[in-house]
Amino acid sequence: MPPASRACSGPDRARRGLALRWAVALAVLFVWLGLAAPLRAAEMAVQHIVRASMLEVPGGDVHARPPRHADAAALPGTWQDVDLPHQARRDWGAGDQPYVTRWFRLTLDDVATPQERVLYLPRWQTIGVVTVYADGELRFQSRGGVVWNSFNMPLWVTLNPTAGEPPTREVLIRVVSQTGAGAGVSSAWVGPREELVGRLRVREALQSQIPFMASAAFLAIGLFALAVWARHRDDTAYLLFFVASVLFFVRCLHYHTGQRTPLIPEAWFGWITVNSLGWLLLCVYFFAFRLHERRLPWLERGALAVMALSTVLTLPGWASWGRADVITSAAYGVQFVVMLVVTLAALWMSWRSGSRLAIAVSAWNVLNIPVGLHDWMLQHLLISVEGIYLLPYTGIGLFFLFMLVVFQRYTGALAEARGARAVLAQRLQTREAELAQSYARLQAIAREQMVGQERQRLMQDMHDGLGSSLMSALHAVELGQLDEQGVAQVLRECIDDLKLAIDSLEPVQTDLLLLLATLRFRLEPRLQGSGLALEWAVEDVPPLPWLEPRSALHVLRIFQEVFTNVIKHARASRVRVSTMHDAHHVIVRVEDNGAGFEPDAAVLAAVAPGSAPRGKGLGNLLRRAAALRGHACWTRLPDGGTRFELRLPREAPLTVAD
Amino acid sequence: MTGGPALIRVALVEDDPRVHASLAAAIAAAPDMTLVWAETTRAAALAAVERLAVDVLLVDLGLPDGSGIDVIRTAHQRWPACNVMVSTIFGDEMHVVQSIEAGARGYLLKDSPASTMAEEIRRLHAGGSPISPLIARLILARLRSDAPAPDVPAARETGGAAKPAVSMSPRETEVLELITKGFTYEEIARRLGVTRHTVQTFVRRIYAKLEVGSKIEAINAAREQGLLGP
Repeated sequence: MPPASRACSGPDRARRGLALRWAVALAVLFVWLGLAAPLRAAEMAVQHIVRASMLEVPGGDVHARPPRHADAAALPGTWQDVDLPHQARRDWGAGDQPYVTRWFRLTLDDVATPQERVLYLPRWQTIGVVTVYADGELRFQSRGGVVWNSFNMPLWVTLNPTAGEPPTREVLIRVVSQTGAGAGVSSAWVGPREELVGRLRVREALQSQIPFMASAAFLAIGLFALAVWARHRDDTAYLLFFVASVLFFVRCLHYHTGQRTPLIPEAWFGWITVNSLGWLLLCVYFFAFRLHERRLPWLERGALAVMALSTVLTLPGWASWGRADVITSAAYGVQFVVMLVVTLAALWMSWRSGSRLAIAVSAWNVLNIPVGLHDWMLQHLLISVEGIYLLPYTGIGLFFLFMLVVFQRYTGALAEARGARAVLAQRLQTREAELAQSYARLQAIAREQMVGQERQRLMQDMHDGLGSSLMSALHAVELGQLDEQGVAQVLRECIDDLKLAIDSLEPVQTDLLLLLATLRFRLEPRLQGSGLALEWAVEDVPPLPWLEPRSALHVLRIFQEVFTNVIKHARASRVRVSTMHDAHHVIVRVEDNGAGFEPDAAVLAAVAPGSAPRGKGLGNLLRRAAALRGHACWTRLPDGGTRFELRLPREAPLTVAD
Repeated sequence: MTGGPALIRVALVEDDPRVHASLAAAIAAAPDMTLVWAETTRAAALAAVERLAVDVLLVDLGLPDGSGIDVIRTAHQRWPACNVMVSTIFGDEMHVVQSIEAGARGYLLKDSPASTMAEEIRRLHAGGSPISPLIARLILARLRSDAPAPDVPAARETGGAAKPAVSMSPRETEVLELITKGFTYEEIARRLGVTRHTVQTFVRRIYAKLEVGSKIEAINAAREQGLLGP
């Protein structure tokens, strides 16, 4: 997998080296504990018993309660000397009786002191029960189930627990087993409690406590992996880790159940214990496959099918087809074959993929073959019963590899996320800069455009208004047609034009009244000079959102023209300006009491729609009104005089033409 | 001169010789006025201001050796009773407002006929000040105590919605609003039921507030920039 293999850099290798050193140190410590304890014990009154007498009697009952006393001399049959550890092999053929009873007689050294002494038996194993007698008195009875008894727990029995008891001379170990299930008894130690407790501790740790603690710890990490998987469903490695941790925990239960009867029926406990191993191994292989992209679908499916079949066939309900130990053996056999095939396939695939972690996991899996064989032989009493089940330890090693992978994946994902965030932030910054740049560019273009339009507007106005007025005045003066008064008049009009153009540049902010007020302020001297009485009857009008400099100049020029006409041609004495509005329009009226005036039809006809309004005159006035999407008209009033009315839209015209 | 009403003492600062001549002629033609001094440069005008008191000072802003604003400010400080009048071609917002802030109380359009000019000087001397609708709108935006129009550039320059340093009375605001609608002093006086003189007083007061307001703003700005102590 890319994140895992990519993360295989220098610091990681260093960390792995450190872990290895720790593992070596721990191993040394355990070996020392195992060796040092016997050395110390040897000098004290510790007896290591490696020979015993054995008597095998058919019959007995694993469920019956044991007799309180046992007398070796009273037992029928011939005793024979055996070496300890002793393994009575399994026998697949069924005997006459369902059970067989084996007696082991241990002779103890004569010890003078009345000290408390304990019997320490590292391991025993059978399907059945074990009872211990000290000088004929019952001292210990194994509990738990028949199959899942305390076989993997060291036996630790105080031989003379009460005060004043003489030292024990003889220990009898009664082993009642299912016929054919075999039985194993390790060598025994007898001595003072303090001298033997160290051995007990090491044994307990190696046989049950370490597998228990490790499986519990992995279960906790597995739960964390499950939580991660819950958020990242596509990363099945986390889920596999969790499932494997559960299976490992379940699998390790039987190593440390000890004297307590399992919580669930024994048959089910056995079913779970046997099958959890196979599923655990499958999980490990699937995990290994996920370390590289190569998959062997047929192999995965085949292994799954075989495991499923084995699981179903060993179901307690079904299992009536054979003896429990036989079924277990058969199941282990099938699992062993599956493991063998899949292990080799996985190793080959990993090798081809070149993923170092995958190779490490697969190579570690290969260890499972000899270790599995060892455990199988230990379980079948083919090797010394004093050995220790090793599969939990290869499991622990595997889990460390698992954790390494998951950890790398996790930190890799974190680093990737951080990197992605950084990239994102950088991209965002770049994008922002681009946006700012393009915004600035657009703004510059808009500003240029606006300046250009404004220049064009002013040029147009000067060309058509001021320019042409000055030009015609110049020609008239040159031709001698214009007297001094006339020149002054033309110049005054030019200055008025200029003032209005300047006023149109002031921000009127949608306020039509302000615009009209400005016009009045400008024209007041001329109106007064002509003797016209002005009645200003304006009322508030709504704001016109489209009233910007260009449209403002149109409005100013329209009314300038209207007032000029009134002053020059109407021969009026009064003029009234009023404003009003309706839902869609704002209306401005200019009424005079003059001679009456209506523009020629010709002038109105000359105003072709769409032609640019320029210069002066009525035609221009109409074109300007049209440019504002407004409407201008003259009405003859009944009592003489004229009403000019300009209707302007309240909403923005689409565009205001020049 | 003795016995009759005192002549209006007028001074003139104008560099354009034609305008200078026409203004001087208009003043000379008016029987109730006398031209005390006339200068063409800023330096000479500043010296003359120190020397001689006048009733009305006419100042052009574009002088060859600097801005007429300085002359306005100096004259206003030296002779607070002196009515300063800026002479301008267009009477546009920019020129007029900064002159008022410097202490001017009126303006004279250079294209006015001689008779109108004399009339304007007389009116100013009598306490009247002209105000255009555009300038009224600008002052409204600046000094309005309730809600200054946020779109008006002047309001933006002075800090937008911030409370102005000097605020106007409701009556003053009303007068300015009527001016922006195009009403004349007479019309306003009729509407408000006061005399024309009262309206003129309002306008004078508003001009004074604009001047004070600009000074306070300048001080505040200086304080913000650390030029002045607290």
